[in-house]
Amino acid sequence: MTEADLKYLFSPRHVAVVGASHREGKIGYTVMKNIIDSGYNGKVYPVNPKGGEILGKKVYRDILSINGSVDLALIIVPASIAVNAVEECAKKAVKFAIVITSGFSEIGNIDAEREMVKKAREHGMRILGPNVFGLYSASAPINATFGPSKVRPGNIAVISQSGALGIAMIGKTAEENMGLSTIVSIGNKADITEADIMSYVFNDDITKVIFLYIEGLENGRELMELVKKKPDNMKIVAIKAGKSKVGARAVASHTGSLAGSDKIFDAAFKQAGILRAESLEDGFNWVATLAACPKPAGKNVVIITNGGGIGVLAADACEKYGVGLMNDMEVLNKTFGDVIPKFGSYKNPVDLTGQAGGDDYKEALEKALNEEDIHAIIALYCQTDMTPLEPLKNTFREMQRKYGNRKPIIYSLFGGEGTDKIIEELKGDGIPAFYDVEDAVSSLNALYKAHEDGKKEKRESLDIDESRIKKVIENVAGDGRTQLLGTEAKEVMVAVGLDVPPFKVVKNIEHAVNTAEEIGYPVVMKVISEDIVHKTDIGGVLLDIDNEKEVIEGYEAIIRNCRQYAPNANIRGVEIAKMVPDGVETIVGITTDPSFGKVMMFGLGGIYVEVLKDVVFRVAPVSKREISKMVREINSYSLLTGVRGESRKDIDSVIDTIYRIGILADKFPEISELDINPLVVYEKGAKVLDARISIEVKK
Amino acid sequence: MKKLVIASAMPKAGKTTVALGIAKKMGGKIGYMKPLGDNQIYKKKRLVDYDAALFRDVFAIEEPIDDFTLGFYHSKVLHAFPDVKKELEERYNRLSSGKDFLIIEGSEDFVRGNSLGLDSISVASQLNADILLVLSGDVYDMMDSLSFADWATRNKGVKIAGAVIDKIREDTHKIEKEIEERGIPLLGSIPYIDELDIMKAGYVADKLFARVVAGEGGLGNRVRNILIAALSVPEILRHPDFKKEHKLIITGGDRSDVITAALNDTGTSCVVLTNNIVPPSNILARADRKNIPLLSIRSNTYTSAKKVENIESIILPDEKEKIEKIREATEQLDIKPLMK
Repeated sequence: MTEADLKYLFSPRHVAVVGASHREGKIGYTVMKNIIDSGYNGKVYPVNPKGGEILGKKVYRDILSINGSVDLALIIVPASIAVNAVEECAKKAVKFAIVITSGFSEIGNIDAEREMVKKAREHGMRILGPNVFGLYSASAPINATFGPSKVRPGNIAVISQSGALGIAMIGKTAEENMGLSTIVSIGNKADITEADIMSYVFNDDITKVIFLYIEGLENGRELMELVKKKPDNMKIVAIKAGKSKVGARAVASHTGSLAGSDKIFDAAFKQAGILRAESLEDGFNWVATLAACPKPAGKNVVIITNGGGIGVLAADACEKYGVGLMNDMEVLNKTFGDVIPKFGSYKNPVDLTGQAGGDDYKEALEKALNEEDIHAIIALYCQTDMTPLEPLKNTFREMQRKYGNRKPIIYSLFGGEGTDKIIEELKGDGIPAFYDVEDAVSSLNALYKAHEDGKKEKRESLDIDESRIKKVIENVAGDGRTQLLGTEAKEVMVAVGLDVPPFKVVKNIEHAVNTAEEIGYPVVMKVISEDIVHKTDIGGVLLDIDNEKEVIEGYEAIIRNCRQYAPNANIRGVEIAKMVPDGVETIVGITTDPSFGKVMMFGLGGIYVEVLKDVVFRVAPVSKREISKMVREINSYSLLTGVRGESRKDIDSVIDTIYRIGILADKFPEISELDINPLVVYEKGAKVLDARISIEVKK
Repeated sequence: MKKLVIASAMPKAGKTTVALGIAKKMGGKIGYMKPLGDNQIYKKKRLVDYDAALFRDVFAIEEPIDDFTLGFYHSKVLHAFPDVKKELEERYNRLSSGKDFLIIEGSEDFVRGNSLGLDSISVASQLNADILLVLSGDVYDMMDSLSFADWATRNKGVKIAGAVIDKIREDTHKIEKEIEERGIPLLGSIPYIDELDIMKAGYVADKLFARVVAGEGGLGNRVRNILIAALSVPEILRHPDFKKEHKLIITGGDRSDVITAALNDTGTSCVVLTNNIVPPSNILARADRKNIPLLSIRSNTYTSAKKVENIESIILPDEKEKIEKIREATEQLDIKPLMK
């Protein structure tokens, strides 16, 4: 049996509603009514053992008694009989079943859900759900949901993991007059997932923006790979709910303990070019803007306003969001000099003053829209009694009609009932108009972010000593260990091509003294034992050892401390390493996320890493360009660029280090966690002072 | 000049306590050495013995503290001193010069240091000193110690000048009789001194290699009781150990509720925060105000509790109350046999 093309989910030729109801108010009735009212052209077969008629359609007692073919079945029967219903649909050669019924894995009833999918798959049928609200598709057109009946067709696809929220989103999109290509909930994801829906939507020729609501992702990496295949001009806005707390996990690595799943989602979305909205309001605003506006040709934004105050608010918001305001006075003067009154200003915000009406706005907007060096416009209006609103609205509509597909124009009006009504009407026309100037700027920022250059970078091949790394890992695994000794981890770092200060393991005082002399003072001394995770906690690390006497006493101190505090530890020796000058301490790490796989971390390191938590994440593999962005994101970035007279540090060496660690993680998937802490960065170069590596040993 | 090796057959018998008491009774210029160290502190790149530091400070001994101890670890001693006996002799000569009484504190038991000639009996033999035997534990532990000590010293030609029974908790009649029967003068018995179990928060911090993240002003706070706070706050408040004074509380650094409850209690001396988690700044500020040290360590709660439990309380030079208690408790010891 082959699986049906998803096309018949979104454009079914004929539909059955299993569990259709004769009673108004029931889901089975509402779904029937919505399908009929949506203007669906195909046959609609209600199925109910009671028979009779519903909304003028003959009711079949079971699906098998329907003569014609059925592409899509909606299952709205109680959970106790849903599996049988699905089986019957599968036998009927229905291609897709949307199981609206709930009461499956979401309440722990996993077996029934699995059984349902198994029965479906035996006949090549796919299941959407269970626990969903149905599906709306503009391509059919069909509204097979139990939500609001009126859905405006358009170019926005909404994919929701929550049924209730999804239903509410139907209402919201209607209120905002947003046109949908599809709205679908994926519910329990027993079979069809958001990835399946998205891969269909990528190729549907209608959708311009996807609005995704998710709570969890089993396979985040798969989603990231899928998103790479979307058309360039299609944008994705996502809300990810369920921020998890970072608990105090007793893991060996800092990276593992700092990487909460929400931070990783953040990083993954950023990398995939998915805009993450923190609120539904933002999400809707951004989606509407992305659907309506073209890609800005550049970063020069001009604010055109009739009120200085609101202009300043807009400018503040631009600074907050990092939206660039045009500051070329010559061009601004040339463009607006003639259109502003004497007491106005062309200096961005362009102030048309309080008396400006529809014609004044038209003049100013047309100038801006025809000026090549102006790339986007924020048009603001504060209600005054001097200006009739109707001409203003008409101006905005006209500008949008003439220029809206060439240059982004975002509108924000502030006032009373009058301006609110204009906003509603503009929205009704698909024009991005906002009550709050902050929302307007946030949406413009989203537009810019969505169109950021996501050029794929070729991965540089690097010379790393793979055989040496392999040998170290095999030795550790052979020992039955999952944690590399500090010196083994350093050996791996050397093999990766990183700069590690000279080090050696010694097993007696003579050797310690000779090694210290050889390496050169000052040195550090650290106990080497797989049984001692936190060496500092038992006095197993000594710094700044300057001469032979200190080496002797230090060796003695370490061994005695180990005997006292870790009497059962297997002491393999003491590491003597060159102590290096101070620099900026950073941390580079890898952890393994259950959904996204290998995740890279970079941030401010040293002893403060767990206090300040100034770290950022990316899902591996990461290009050098992305690493460069990553490095700039830490709050303490200025420590690397130089503050208070300090010189700029070698950021390229940091980028190179992170890149190499990414290659290591890629080539050696058995490395489950890795920390370099600290990676000390200097004006020239960066050194690995300490590394910790955990591996997964396959049983 | 009188010299005496303070020795015990088993570790942690109370040698330092007895040595301190005897030295105070002896009076005059006191010298000290401890050929093989066992109670180390590594600070500012120097390794010294806590007991050596105690004697240096209490008796204002001018010689450098490095001289008091040849080392803590066999390989260091062998590496540093090609002729250990010669070194011991030279140190003895330096440290005893101008002194009325030299206390030589022996190694933790009669075995440790034997291969170096630095066990208590070998040192006594080489330096021609008598031994003051310290006995503690239950009666039969003491019997074993006494019996072995008597045999070993006779074998080496070393005299036991006297015996002291320390940390008495039960009837000592049997052991006293045995001591008498062996012809060893019993100098007296010292009761269990509760005060000696008290530790300072700063000492705990040192022993745990902890980071003091707040409340530094309270590092002198006294710790006697330990409570692992793994319960909910209401349960902890009801726990009988929580009502004790001078308590050290061990809890996860993320348990802001527990830490706050601990800081609000007047009987809290110190809080150990596990798993390397530092609480929010408002809690740190409260600890600072209350002078209750918050000590952060990386280990988990179980490991941390074990470490704290294993910390051996010692006598620090600035613990005047302990030193006074020792003086009081050893006042009744009869030192006449030592003068013969």
